[in-house]
Amino acid sequence: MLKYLGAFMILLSGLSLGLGRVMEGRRRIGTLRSVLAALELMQGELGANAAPLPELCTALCRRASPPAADFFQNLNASLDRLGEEDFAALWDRAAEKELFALKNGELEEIKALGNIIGRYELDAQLSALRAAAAAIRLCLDRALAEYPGERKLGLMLPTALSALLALALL
Amino acid sequence: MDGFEKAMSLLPPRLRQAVLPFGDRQVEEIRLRIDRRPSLLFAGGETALDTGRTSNEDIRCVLEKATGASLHSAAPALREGYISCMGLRVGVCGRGVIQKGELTGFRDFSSLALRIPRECRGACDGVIHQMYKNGFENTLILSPPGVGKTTALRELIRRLSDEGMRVGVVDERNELAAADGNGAGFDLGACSDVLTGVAKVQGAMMLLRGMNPQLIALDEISSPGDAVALEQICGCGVGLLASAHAAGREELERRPVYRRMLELGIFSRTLTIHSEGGRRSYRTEVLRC
Repeated sequence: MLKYLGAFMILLSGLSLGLGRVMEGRRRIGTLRSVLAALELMQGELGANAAPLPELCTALCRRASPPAADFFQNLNASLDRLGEEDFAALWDRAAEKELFALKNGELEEIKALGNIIGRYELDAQLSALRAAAAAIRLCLDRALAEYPGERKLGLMLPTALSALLALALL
Repeated sequence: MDGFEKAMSLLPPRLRQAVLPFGDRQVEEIRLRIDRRPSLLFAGGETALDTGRTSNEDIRCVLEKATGASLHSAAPALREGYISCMGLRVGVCGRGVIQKGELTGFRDFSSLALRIPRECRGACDGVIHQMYKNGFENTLILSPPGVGKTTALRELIRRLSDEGMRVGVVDERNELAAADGNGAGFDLGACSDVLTGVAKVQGAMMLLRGMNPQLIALDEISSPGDAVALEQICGCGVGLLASAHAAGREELERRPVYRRMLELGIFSRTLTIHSEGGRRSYRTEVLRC
């Protein structure tokens, strides 16, 4: 009986490992979509109103979807630390905390904006936002193309391996 | 928060520590120049602080704090060479960014001057009685930069307003009222109505149309556009009180913008401020009878 229970547990853990990988992929796609939409909103707010950052963050908290909305909320809350820490550091910390589902290169694209937003003239900021949005769109397209394969592989490989292991143990 | 505390709040912690001991002295400006020691400007001259040199990060930190990390929203003021924040004026120097032949902003900031506004009640009491014993006359306050034009203008506004005159103030750079968004700032008198952040020509017309002022006050008339504002108001039955950069009437007459104002007889009186050895003196002169 214990043997069957052990085999079942191995099978279950393999399945949950696979599901976890699939969820991670879905979360990454959701984050990329949310960030892309927020970058476009940001371009609109900056281009149309030249909104100061606290105002921009408040607007984006409301209008963006999570997790980008959470990122701007976190950033807005940390703006009172300006003067103690520079803006790029606050931006980086908010990105690392709220946009953790992004892969390294994707997160770096967003973090690089922290050195430009609010620091240069409006045209330079808008062109940096456009470039970041284009890069994130590419990442999103790639993630969407890879997702079906990754889902199959993510689900099947750990499940099959754990099934084999369970059978071997039986 | 007074002007000194506001200026302190913009500084990075290291510089704040260095400036703090001077809080009870009459600091007029805090000056930051890249790769130089920060210094304080007093009426008697400039004193370098005994602290490390000003770094790029120090300058960036002040600018981020002053603009809420939004240099772009301060662009119109930056094009004039300053940033306005909580009633403080932060003068800037750096490398100008020119696009299509026009200055659009700055990069590589090299110097900042944080001017600390002060309220000097009774500063020009002596001349006020002499100036207005027969009623208010259109007055132009003159002095070189940093000698106290804005302080004197603020004091005249407060005195005239407290005496019952409805004063409309066009405070384009928020230096006269120095309001910080919570209503706090300098006392401009009981009967003053303050329009902040609006260009002088536009603001003066708005006050005329909407607030029924008896007197309109404007700080630092310097451009042909400002002179146009004065020409438009003059003759509307409203008094004028303004300030301009000039050491005296002779200097004023040398500049076309002011020469035209003098020819048109817009002002009846000047109040000239002199500073010698840190002491200020006021002299008034009638321009026409």
